[in-house]
Amino acid sequence: MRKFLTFLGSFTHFFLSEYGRLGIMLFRAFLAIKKAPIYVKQIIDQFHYIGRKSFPIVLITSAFIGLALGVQIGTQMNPYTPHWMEGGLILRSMLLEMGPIIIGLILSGRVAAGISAELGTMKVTEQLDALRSFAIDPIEFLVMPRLVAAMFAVPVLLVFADFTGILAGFFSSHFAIGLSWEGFVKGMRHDFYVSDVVTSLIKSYIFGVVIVIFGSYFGINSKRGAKGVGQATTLAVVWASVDILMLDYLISATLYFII
Amino acid sequence: MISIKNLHKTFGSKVVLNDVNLNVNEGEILSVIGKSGTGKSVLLKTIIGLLTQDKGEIEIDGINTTGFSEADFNKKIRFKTAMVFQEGALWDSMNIEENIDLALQIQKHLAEKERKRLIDESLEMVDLKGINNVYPEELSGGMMKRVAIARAIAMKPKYLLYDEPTTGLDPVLSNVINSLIKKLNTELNITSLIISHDISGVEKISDKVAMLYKGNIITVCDADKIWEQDNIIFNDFIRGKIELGQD
Repeated sequence: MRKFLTFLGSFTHFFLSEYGRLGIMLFRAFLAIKKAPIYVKQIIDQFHYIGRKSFPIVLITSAFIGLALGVQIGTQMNPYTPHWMEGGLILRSMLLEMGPIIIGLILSGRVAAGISAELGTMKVTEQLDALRSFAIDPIEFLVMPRLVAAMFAVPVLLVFADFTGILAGFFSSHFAIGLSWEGFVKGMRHDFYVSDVVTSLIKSYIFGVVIVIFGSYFGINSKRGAKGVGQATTLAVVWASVDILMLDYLISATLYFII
Repeated sequence: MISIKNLHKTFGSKVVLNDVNLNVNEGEILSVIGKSGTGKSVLLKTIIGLLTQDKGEIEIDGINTTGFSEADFNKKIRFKTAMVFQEGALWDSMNIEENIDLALQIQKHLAEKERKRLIDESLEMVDLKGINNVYPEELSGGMMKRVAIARAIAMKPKYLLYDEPTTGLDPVLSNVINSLIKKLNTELNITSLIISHDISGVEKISDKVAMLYKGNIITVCDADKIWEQDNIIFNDFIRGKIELGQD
């Protein structure tokens, strides 16, 4: 029992201190946004990396998720339920859950890992120390531009992911159960709520922040050597993915009562 | 003048610096020699606030940096110091011009024309004129160190700290770097603190030599008198009789 309590205590301490440090970094990065005009080039570069370069993989994955949704929903619907209702189900599934989650998880693997590996390598090769020696704050120069870029890029990616997923959902339900385009649109109109779009966009903003901050935090605090950078990258992806799933639930539950 | 008094630094249970006292006078080149792992790089990083000492004081031009925050170092110290890191630590996502330009733009807020002039001037100083658009990955080890020096001198520092500037270079390149350090000291009057293992280079370019041993400065002497010292450890080290490595 004592051992268990000791373990629980040290785990809680570790958990809170890591989140505390992460929160401080996030706060400092947000404070640094006022200096964004100095770092326009870095922000554009990061927008290109986070947004444009993630575009193909986001479209491909959301298309396949949409295809799977169309088949699953279509074939599992009660035979007495009108087929046109599938349009609404696909729309709401993509907007509320699938779109943001796909974006979050895909970008955790691509962007959080990339940021962590890059900043981790900069740490072990003393490039972060070099920045500080010239009075350049690494959070201001490295984290803030990524944060700003993600806050713009991730919602844009989400819009394309949702659109692609919904369209793919229509095609697969058309071939699976013979749903017509008119029927699909009727279903979407029937179940369209602006609050779903707002929820989806809020999630994408928050997931963008999570991806950047976890990637940056573990990268900047990477231990020395290739092994250290590898561990930092793994931690960034795992923590970002788990946090995205936890936050997805919390945001969904909270917004359900608010909106 | 850089004045270090009773400096202590530990990492966990390992004592790295133990009561270090050292003065670097204006205009001189002081080299710190010593075995690997004796805390020489830690000493440099502590001077400019990249690491924080546990005890002791560091004064730069009479400014006591004890208890300084990162912002204090940025405001009061780092505009007059620069450091050349062991492997150069060039920012590899930027080309050479951007590497030198970054601090000029962010820290000095200079106009583009003036920055361009300083970039070209500093590259010319290290004999690397015209490599502005080259990326660090395309450079040799020696060129990287020269670019790192150019990046540092573009900021017009009063104090320049070198972390093993000749390590990993062949004797010819080592001579080039050593001559460059001497030239910068003579022509730009930059006070230099060098960490080095290169005894012949140290002897050639330094005004003073200090030896760090087990976290403590055991000898400080004029560079032209290093072969006349009484300290056995110092004598053994400069003659290559102490095995390099951890204790």
